[in-house]
Amino acid sequence: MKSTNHGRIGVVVDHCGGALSSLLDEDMIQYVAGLPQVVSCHHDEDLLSSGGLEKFNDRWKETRIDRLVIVGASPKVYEASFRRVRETGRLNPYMILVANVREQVLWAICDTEQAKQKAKALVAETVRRAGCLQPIGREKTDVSRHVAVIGDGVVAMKAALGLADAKIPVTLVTDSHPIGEDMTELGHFHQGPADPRGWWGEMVERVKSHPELELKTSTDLRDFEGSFGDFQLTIETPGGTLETIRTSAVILAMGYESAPQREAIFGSDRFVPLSQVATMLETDRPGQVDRKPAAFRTVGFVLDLVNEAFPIDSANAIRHAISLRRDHDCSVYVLCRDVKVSLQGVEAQYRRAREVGVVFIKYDDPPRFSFVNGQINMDVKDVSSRMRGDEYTLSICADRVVLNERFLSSKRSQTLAKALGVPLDREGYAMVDNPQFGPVKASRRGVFVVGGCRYPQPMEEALTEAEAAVLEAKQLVSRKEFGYDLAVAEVDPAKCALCLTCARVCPHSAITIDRYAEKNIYATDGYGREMTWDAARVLPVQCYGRGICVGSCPTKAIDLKHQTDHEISVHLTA
Amino acid sequence: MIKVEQKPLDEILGFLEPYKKIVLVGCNACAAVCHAGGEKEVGILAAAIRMARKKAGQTLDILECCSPRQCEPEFVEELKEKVDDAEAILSIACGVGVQTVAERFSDVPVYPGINTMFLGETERMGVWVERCQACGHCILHLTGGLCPIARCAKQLLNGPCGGSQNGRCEINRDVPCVWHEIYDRLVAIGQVQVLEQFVPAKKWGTESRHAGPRTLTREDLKR
Amino acid sequence: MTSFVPRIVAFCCDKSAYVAADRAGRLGSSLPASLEIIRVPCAGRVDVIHVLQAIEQGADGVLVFACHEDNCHSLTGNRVVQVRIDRVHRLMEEIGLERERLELRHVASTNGAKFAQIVERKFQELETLGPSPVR
Repeated sequence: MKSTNHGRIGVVVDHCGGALSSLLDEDMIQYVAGLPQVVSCHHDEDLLSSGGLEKFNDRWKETRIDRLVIVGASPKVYEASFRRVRETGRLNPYMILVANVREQVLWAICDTEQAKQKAKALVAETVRRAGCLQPIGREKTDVSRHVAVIGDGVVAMKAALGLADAKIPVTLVTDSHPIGEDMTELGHFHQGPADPRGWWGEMVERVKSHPELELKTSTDLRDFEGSFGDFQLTIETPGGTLETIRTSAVILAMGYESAPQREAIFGSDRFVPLSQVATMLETDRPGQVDRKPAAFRTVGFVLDLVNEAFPIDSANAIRHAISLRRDHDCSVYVLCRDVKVSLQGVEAQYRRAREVGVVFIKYDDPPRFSFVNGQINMDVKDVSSRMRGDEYTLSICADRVVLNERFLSSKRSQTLAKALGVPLDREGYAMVDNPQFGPVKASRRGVFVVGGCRYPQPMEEALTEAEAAVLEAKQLVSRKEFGYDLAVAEVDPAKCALCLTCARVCPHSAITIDRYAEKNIYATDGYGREMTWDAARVLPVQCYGRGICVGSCPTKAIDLKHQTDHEISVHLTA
Repeated sequence: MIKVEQKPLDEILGFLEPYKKIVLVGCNACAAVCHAGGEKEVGILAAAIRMARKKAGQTLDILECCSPRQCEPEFVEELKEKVDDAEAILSIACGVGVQTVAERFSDVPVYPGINTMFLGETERMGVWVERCQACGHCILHLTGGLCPIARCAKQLLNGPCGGSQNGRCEINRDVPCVWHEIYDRLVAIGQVQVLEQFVPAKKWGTESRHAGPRTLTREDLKR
Repeated sequence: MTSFVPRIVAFCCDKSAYVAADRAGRLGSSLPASLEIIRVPCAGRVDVIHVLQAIEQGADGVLVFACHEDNCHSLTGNRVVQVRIDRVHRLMEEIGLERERLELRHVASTNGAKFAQIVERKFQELETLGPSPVR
C-alpha cells in the first residue's frame, strides 16, 4: 500500500535552551516555513522543559495539523516525551519526526555555512518524509494470572514454588515420575545446603502439596503457540491424552548432562570420573584390609581436557585433592591449563591445597597417558619450566587418574528449547551469551530459560537464576493487561506465497501461519469469498518491530508499520 | 515445487543490449519461494541492470511488474497494458512462465532471467534438492517413497549398481545411494518383500517424456 | 573546478550506530556534511534493495552499521545483514562497481569516536576512488 505524499505538517523549532539559536536564524525559519505542506511553524525556547510538548495541544487544535516535525536535538532525546503525548495530546506519537540538527549537524559540522546548508537539507528531507507517515494505534491484551514451568529437577521446583508462594497459579510440567527421585543434581552444588537430602525432600513435599501449584508428572510438551498473556501449551499426559494449558508465561528449567571422557572407559578402572571421587574416598579407609583394586597412593587429577571454561571442576578437584592429601596420605598432582578459582572460597582452598602439599602442574599440550607396571603414566610438559627457559617433561606414575566428565546439553532440553522457540548455540545450550535479554529472558516475549540447559553452572547459580525468572515472570503477569503499540510488522495475506521465510527468520518467534486470508497469491477471481487460505501472520504482542522479516520476504507481502519500505525509498530519493 | 535460480547478470545484460525499453516481469509463485523471481527480486534485478547500463554509458527504461503466477493465462493477460510499448520482455519466472508470456505476447521477444533447475523439496531453508523428474508414471509405492528416477544417477529400477559403497553413490561421495536408502526405508516400514517385484523398464518413448511434449486433459474440468 | 565531495549514505542501527552518531556530535568529532544518516530499528531492516537504491540515487559510498557480534538486540540482525551485503558485493562486481563503496561495520552505541573515524576514513577513501560511475 503506497501512501501518497499528503498531510498538514506542523513544525516546531526547538531552540534547545539557546544552543541552536545561531543556526535557527530568520533565513532558516523562513525556509522551513516555506517548505511544501508546512502549514504552521512555531518556536519553543526549550521543548523538553516541563510540559513543552504538551503545550502544543491548543496550538494544534487551531492549525489542524495532522503530523509534526521537530527541528531540534536527537530524536532519542524527545522519545520519552512522545509516549506522554499519546495520553495528553491529539497527535499520534508515530506522526512525529525529528530533524536532528543539534547532535548530527550543528555539533558535528565545523564550518557554519556548511552546517546551515546541511540543516536546511535535513529539515527539507524530514518534512518530505513526514508526508508518508501513518498513525499507529495501541492495543491491549489480557494477561491471565498463570505461569507454566517445564523442568525435571530442583531448579524447576524452586521456580514453581517461587511463583506459587507469590500466589500466582503455576503448572509444573515434568517428565519424571514421581518427582524428585533422581538426586544426581545434589552433586552439582559448589557449596550446598548443610543437609542436602533434607533440603531436597522438603522441596519435593512442598511441590506436591502447594495449593497454587498444579503438578503434572510423566508429561511431555507436544506443542507451543500463541503470545505472551495467551500461550497455548499442549501437553501429553500419561495414557496419551492431550491437554492444552493456557498460560501467560513459560519458564524452561532443565539441567545439563555429563558423560565420562573416553579414556575413562578404556577398560581400566584406574581412570576415575571426577563425580565418583567422593565414593572412592568413602570406600578407601586407611587400614581396610580387603581393598580392591590395589590401593591408591598416588592420584593425578587431569582437568581442562574438556570443559575448559567451567570453574566447578577446578573447585571440586581442589576439594578432593586436599582430602586425599590430608586424610588418605596420598601424593596428589593436579594437571590443568589454569587453576580456576572464581567460585566462592576456592581461592583460599587453593592456597590450603598448596600448603598441604598438593602439586599443581600447568600444561599447554595435553598430557599423554600410557600404562607402566600396572600404573598410569602421565607425560606432561610443565609450562612453568618453559617460563624459566628450561622446558622439560614430567613423568608421573599414578595409581588413579581422575578425569572430569564432559558437560553436555541434554537432547531433551534441546527439543524443549526448540519447541519453545529458544535459539540454541553450537553446543546445544540455550540463549547463552545474550547481553540484550539478560541471563534469563528468551528472545521470545514471555519465555524464560534458567538452569543448566542454559549453560552448565553450579547449582547455586542455577537457583539464583530461578529466582530471577520468578521475579521477571511475577512482574509480567501481575498486571491484568499488557499494552503495546502496533509498531510492528504486518503481512498482506493476499500477497503471501507461504514460503515460510519470515516465520523461520524471525528471532522472536513472532510470526505464525494461520488460516485467515480471504485471497491468496494463487487465487484467480471467481473462487468466491467462502474460501480462506493460510498466510503468514505476525503476532503483534511478540513482535519487536525490528524488520528482519521485511527484508527477507520475496513477494514484499510484509512491511514494517513504523518504517515502511516506501518511507526508506522517499528518504533515499533526493 | 519448481526450483529456479537467477542467471548471472552479464548473461542477462547480453540479452538486453539492443533494447532501450523493456518490461521486467516477476512471478510470485515458485520463483518467489526460491527467492529468485518474486516482487522483491524484480526490484533488485531492475536496479542492478539500470546501474550496469548506466556504467556502460547507456540507459534502459525498465517497467517493473510482477504476476501472481505466470503460467496462468488470466494473470498473463493482466500484463497487456504494461507490455504495449515494450521492445522486449525479461521474465524471471520458470521456463513455463516465460513461455506462457511469449505465447500471449507473440510479437515481442521474451527473455529468461532464470534457469529452471528441477522439481524439488526444501531440505532446509535455502537448500533445495531434486526429488522428481516428472516421468509420468510414479513408482514410489514400490520404493518406499524415494524416487530412483530423480535420485539415482543411472535411474535404475531394481536395486543399486556395483558402485554403491557405504551408502554413497559412485559419482560423488556427497550423494547418497538412493537404493541403499530405499532398502532401509522398506525395512523400516515392513515392506522389504516389495523388492522381490520386478520393475520393468519405463516406456520412455510412449508413456513418458521422450515421446514429445505431453498434454494432460481432464474432461470434467475442460471448458 | 569544484573538487569532488563524496556523498555517503549510512544506515544506522537505532541501538548502536545512531546513538554513536549522536555521541560523535557531543564529543566534538566531526562528521562530513555530505553524510546522510538513515535510522533503522535494526541493521536487519536493511535489505539488498535499499543499498542498491542508495547507490542508484547517487551515493558514492554506503556504510551499513550494525551492533557487534553476539550483541544484536534481535540476536540475528547483524548476521542477516552481513549475508545481504555479501550479495550486494557480488552484484556490484557484476555491475562494475568497486566493492569499497559498500561496507558493513560494527560499532557500539558508546563509541562516537569510532563512528566518526569510520565515516572519515570512508570519506577519504572515496575521495581517491572518485564519484560513483552510476551517479
